[in-house]
Amino acid sequence: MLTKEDLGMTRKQNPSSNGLSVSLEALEICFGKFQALHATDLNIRDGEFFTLLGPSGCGKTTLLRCLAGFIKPKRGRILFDDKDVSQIEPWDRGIGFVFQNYALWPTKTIARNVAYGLEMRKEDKATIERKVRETLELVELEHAADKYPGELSGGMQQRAALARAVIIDPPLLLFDEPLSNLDAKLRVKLRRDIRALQSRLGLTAVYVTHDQEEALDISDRIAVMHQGRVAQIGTPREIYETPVSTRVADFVGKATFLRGHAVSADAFQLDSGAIIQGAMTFQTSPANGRVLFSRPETISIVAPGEGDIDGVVHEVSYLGNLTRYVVTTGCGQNILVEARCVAQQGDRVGIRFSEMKVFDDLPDTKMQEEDL
Amino acid sequence: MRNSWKIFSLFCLAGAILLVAVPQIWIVVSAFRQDGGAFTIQLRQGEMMLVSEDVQRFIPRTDGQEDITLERPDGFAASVSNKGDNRIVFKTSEPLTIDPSSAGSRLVLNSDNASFVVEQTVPMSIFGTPTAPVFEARPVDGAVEITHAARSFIRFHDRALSFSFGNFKEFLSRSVYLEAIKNSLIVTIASTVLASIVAVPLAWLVARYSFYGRSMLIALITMASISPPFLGAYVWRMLLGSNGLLTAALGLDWTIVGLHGVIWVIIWLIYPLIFLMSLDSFSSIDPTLRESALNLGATRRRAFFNVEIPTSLPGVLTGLYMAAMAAFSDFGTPFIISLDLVILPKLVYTQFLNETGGNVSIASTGSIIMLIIAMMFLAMQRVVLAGRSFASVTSRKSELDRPGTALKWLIYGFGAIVIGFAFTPHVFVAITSFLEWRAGTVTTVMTLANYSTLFTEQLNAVWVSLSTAFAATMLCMVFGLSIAYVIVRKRFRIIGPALNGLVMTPYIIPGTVFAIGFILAFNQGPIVLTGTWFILVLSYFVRMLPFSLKTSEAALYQIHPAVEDAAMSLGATPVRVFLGIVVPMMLSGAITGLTLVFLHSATELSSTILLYRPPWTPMSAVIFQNTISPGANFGYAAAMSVLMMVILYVPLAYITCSRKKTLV
Ligand SMILES: Nc1ncnc2c1ncn2[C@@H]1O[C@H](COP(=O)(O)OP(=O)(O)O)[C@@H](O)[C@H]1O
Ligand SMILES: [Mg+2]
Repeated sequence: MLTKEDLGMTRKQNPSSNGLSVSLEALEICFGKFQALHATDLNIRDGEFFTLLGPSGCGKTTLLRCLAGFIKPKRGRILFDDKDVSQIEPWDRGIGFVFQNYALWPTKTIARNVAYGLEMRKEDKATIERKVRETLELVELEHAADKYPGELSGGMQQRAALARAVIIDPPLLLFDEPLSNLDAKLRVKLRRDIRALQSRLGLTAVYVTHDQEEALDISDRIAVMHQGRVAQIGTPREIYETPVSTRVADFVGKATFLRGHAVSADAFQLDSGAIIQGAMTFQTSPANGRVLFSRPETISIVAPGEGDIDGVVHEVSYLGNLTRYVVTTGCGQNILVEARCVAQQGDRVGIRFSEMKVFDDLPDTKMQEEDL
Repeated sequence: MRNSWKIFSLFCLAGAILLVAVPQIWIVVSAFRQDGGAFTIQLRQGEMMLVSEDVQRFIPRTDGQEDITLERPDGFAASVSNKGDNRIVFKTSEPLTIDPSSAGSRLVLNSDNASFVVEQTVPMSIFGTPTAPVFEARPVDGAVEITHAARSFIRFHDRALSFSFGNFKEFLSRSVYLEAIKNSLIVTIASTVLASIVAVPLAWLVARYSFYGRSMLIALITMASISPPFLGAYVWRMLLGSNGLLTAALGLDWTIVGLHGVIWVIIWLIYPLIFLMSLDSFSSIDPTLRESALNLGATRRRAFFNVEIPTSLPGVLTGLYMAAMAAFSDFGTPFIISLDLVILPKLVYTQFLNETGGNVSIASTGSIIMLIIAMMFLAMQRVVLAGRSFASVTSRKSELDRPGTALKWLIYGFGAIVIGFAFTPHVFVAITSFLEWRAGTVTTVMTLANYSTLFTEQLNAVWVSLSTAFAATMLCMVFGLSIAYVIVRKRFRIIGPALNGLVMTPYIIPGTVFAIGFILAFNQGPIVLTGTWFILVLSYFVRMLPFSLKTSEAALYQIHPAVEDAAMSLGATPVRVFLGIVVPMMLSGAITGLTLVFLHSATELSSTILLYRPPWTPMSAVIFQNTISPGANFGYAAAMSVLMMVILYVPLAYITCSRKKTLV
């Protein structure tokens, strides 16, 4: 077993933190001929809560398993605090991993599950017992110490799995969709618990999810992945508000995409002929602008004729805090609006855009079904 | 670290080649080798004649008092001429030399393509002189002059082996061998069909309906599935043989001895296998399948034929295959029911043990014929199953219906009959174990003598049985778990499938054939094991490993790989992960399979009977010997059978109970 010192992990960039920084340098992962991760560079800061977000099959788990050492990269390096760990075996890396299906050992009690990492480190009995108690208190499971995993609910099992991972004081904690088997309400509570625990222990976390709401909620930074590549890295706000491509814009949050072409730096003509004017940003230049993008909450509903374009309310869904409308324009394009106002299905209304970005092409999904 | 599993796999592969492939290759080699044949002449008062009953491969051309000439189909000729004065001259178409190893009454004469062993047997006469009879040889230009006793039989046996299809030709042309093949097929097919007529409907009823005593019925049939196999035959013969207890009491002029008796006994041996496999697959039909068929307007009968039968067919067919294999390779039943009946396992056994006449080749040929037939059964099962999807694993247990009164009594009647027939031998054996036997017949005198003899004289057999079965079970556990892990998780490209194929091969090898391969491979050369404790252990281990491997694989498929990753990320090396995490998890699933390995090893007969040599005599062999030898004390065998039943049913009760617990 290598110690943290062996790995050169003592030199902290951030003295208040117990974590480490992670750098990927041109990292590539292959399964036979299939390239699961294309050359990727990535820097995760010490103490950061970093999320890998993307649709199923885009390679998030693969990248995470490579960080843990379960998969060896084909090319490139992984650095933990400037120390190359690419060829170090998983049992020598000393980092925590929390799995989607909890992966608790059904033949051991919760306490024995949690104690396992310390037993592997040959700690003495008294220390193990004390640390197990403390760690179980940390995740509020002290009453379940002698139960077997099968006797606990899903949420409790995942908390036990979390305790098992953090008991060895890992500088880096990896999560692979830890909440996706739980019900919605528990998911929200538990993700806040995870985030609080991570801040308190001051360790670095890499968190994999396909749930964009979860990612936006708890991350310091997010890397949006697509087909084995990182499409964008940024804070949740950057990812949501200034997506670099229609793909990111489409995957994170809801959005309206309208086909047409930019006629000037502040005017966009829809395929139907209508022209929308106002401040807009461009992915490359106005000359390439083909798709107008806008988030539903930045669009407002006004009286007919007073907005940028008119349409008919096609669908209304009441969400409580606000109402979601699908407004169909004259040429059949659907615009998604979230607002607090009163309009009935079938009403003729005006639409006003306030924040617009013009992209060069449509995301793949929207090419087939252009209904939103 | 990474390579240790690969090294282990290579080690297992080497072991599998040695223990599975090499013995089978030996059988093939020995089946394709034929010796040069033999003939015997008789000499009496200066007269010479050919003993026509013992002429093998040679064809007599002239048979006179002065000269006997014979010829083999390959053109090789031999002649013996009587020179008088107790001298004969033996001459062949090739010049002969006298081998220096010749001594006493055994001469070895070599030519280019032949190697004759010439042996003299002198009939004993009451007034005979105790001096050794004369038997000497002297070369006479290419021929050999032999001086012999005045009255003698001289056997000429050409032991030179040559590659040939002769054994197969002989096997497939002599009527006794064809009869054996025919009888084996009749017994196998008839008993499997009849057993399935009993077992499949009962399994269906038990799978569908709930009634008082249901789990008791299942437990009893499970018990019946591993009763000591040869007891049934003996008890049924005692009850229904000519002058049997029942036939005599009823005054019937009828006997169970014959092919029909073998079939009758085997039915009650194998129906539990079909019942249990069918019950499993009938109960695992997803009830939604049937309900949706009914909702779509299918009648109950259509739903039965279109949905239930196809989805449960794989399980039922596996049961039929296992039952057919058990019937086909059963050695004890025909042996006990009738000594005259020719049937493959018995024929192969007697040919192999019959030392004179060089019949090992014929035994090997018979073994290969048995293997081919076994493979045909497997192929038939595969062909029927091909292209069918397997029963969907149930997500929710079917609700059991309550049967109507008539149906309920039908189930009870049916159950009582099959349980009654299956346990008749057990009950009868238990009773006779307390009765005194005199000169091979039972009396009504109660006694505990059988048991006291057992515990004073034959505890060794108990120890041999338990220790060999236990050692084989431990080996099955170690290698079953680790080979399953290699096959399922490591997926080495060539080693994996090769290992799997070799380890699973004994599944289709009948016990008799397996034992012959073991003896041929391990009674000479670098590894000599015949007659030891180890050969029993190894044969049980190799024969049972397929079952252990399959249950271990099934257990491993239930374990998510993340469970191993979790341990690894916490600092456990792969070896520690396997031993500390995977093995305990697999064991809880594999324990049922291992218990069955133990029980089957402890009752195994068909390979044991060929492999054991005193003092390593297991209980099954003791019981068998006491059962077949005329006039033996069967009460003693009965007492040992009762002890064996205790040994069998205690662990079985344990696993049935624990299985019930896990199902809840
Ligand atoms: N062991 C493997 N062998 C071959 N292909 C794999 C393996 N694991 C994952 N893949 C492939 O790599 C791609 C990425 O998988 P994964 O990382 O599990 O996706 P995600 O976690 O983002 O859903 C998928 O196309 C998957 O089929
Ligand atoms: Mg994944």
